[in-house]
Amino acid sequence: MDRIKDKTLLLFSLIGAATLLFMPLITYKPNRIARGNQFGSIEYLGAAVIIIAILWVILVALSFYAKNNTDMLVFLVSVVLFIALFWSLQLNAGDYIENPAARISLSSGFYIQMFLMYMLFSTYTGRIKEHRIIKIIGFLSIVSVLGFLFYKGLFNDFSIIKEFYSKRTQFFNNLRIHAILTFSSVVTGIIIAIPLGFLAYSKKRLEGKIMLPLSIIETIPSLSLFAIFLVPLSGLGKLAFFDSIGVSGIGWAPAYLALTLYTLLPIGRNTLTGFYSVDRNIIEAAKGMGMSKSQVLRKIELPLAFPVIFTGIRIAFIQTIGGAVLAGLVGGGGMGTFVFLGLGEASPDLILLGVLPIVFFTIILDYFLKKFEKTIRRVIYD
Amino acid sequence: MIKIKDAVKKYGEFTAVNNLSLIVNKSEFLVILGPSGCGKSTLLRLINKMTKRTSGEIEVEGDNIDDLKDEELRKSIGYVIQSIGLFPHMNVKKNIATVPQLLKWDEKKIDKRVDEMLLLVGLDPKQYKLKKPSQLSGGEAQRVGVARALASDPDILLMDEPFGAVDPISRLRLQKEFRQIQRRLKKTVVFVTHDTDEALLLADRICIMNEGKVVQIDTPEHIILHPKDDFVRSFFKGEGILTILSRKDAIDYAEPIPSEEKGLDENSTLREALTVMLMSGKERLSVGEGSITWENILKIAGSEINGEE
Repeated sequence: MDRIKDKTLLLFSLIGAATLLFMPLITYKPNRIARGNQFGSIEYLGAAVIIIAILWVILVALSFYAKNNTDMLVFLVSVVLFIALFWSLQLNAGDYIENPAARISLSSGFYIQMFLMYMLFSTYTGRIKEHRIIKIIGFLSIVSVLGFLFYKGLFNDFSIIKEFYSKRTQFFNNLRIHAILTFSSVVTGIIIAIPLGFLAYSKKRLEGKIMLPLSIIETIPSLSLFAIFLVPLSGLGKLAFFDSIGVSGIGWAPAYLALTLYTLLPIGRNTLTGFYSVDRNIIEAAKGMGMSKSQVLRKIELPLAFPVIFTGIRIAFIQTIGGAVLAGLVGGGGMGTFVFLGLGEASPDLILLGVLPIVFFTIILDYFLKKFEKTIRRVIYD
Repeated sequence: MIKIKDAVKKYGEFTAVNNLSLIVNKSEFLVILGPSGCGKSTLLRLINKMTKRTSGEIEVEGDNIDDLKDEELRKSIGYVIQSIGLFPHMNVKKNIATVPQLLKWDEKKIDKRVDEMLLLVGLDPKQYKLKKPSQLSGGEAQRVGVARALASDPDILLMDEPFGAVDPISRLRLQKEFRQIQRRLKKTVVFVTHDTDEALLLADRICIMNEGKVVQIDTPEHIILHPKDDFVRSFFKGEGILTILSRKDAIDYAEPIPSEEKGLDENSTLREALTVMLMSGKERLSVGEGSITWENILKIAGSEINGEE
């Protein structure tokens, strides 16, 4: 047991190798609705499976070593593995396609390996503290190789790409709507919740009265919220002004309203906590030096509370990108349209078409917001 | 300078400051000494309206403090608290510049003033101006706190156990240096503490408080030698005479007779002279150009005790 230096890595890489060799990698369907036949990696990838298998085995081997740059090696091997998997996937695709409607779907073997790769990447990018340039190069190469393959149309036989092409305009339209919905809900939440949070902080007797409703709202399932809004919003939609901007019981209005309400708790709560986190002595010193209440707020309390408040905003963003999927339920547009369409048609590819972009943007947004947060903390405190 | 007349502060049933009257003279270093809970901090905060008094009148420099807005009053009074309260998101320069900026001084004047204040408290401006509070030691932070309070050149300083959070060695240094600063700049200081030694070291007058009232207010020498009651006596436990001797510099009482016996320098106090004599067994020690004798010190102590100033 002592010989194993990295049990997590061993576990992941063993499962990865086993999945590669024994689980179905793809499903070949002669048309959109046929069930299709499953194919394992050895049969589908042909000779390329050897390369990928070797890479998994290298990872297994690395779990027995604990040198200084083992983490870096694991990362690099993972990058190569990721690229090799995608490269080999499209290599033989053409051989299988018999007619224009035929397509290749990805199967459990692929998804499990993707999940393992995600775990490896998130663990090891966190572990590598130095040589940030290598991490950046690694991710850039993944993005560029995949982008290149996709651009060249080498993945066009895959079902999810076929769905994408057939619904292309809708896709970008919904992406736009999804982004607008997310941003507008969070911004509205900021405008409402920060003053509310500050009010709860400055008037102690209001704290419970403000925070309790926000917590309760958070527990109401979105479907129920939509149902609650249905009648009032359709009524509102009868008025000329609201009708002209598209307010009704379904569509963007209930989605925007519900999403905004859900952002109120994280932003409001973090505003409250942020202000509480400011040391009383600092405020005492500021007052004693002759600062007015608004000067203390502007120069002392807000800058010091801001990092915590911003964390609340970040949480609200991440929460809302995913939550905006539910707009698809009420015809509000966004990626949720594909998710619910796919659910209705029992088409996993449509569901994925909706979900993958959300996952991608969540990861990106979280990364950049975290970076921004770190910069703010540094600027304010150092 | 500061006139307090029949000040009262009640918190519900509890009276923190009980019909207290007090006058602080210009350029005086007044120490308010008392046990925890005696109301000394509350009294201090009544002066700059950080706490609103229940009744009574307070005048600062001839103006009734109720005639001034809170912020205006506080901008003209320096305020230093035990935890210092430096602003962690601003560097030393911006911290010190706080009140001058509130008073809308021009940038150049503020810059010069910050450098002056840092030098005053013994910190090298070039080294410390851009540091953040998190990079300062306890003693350094306290010095910056004092610099910040003096930046706008207020005539009055209110200080609430400002050196309490610092280690004993730094504390002694800070106390001595601050006393010199106060003497040089002739600031009026109201200083709250529960530390007897600190009071005896710093004060021109000590005001002993208990349960919201003034028990005795007098010079340290008088309080030690003529305590009003047992409560006051218990503060100094009879060793007060040694502390009085530590307030006197040996060189001021030296005879013009040179001596070979070393052990003192020109900054030594009579108390230090006494200690060296006890340790070395010598009755005469050289100090400056002359010397000080055991008999001399006994005579000085005796005249103190008998009230012959």
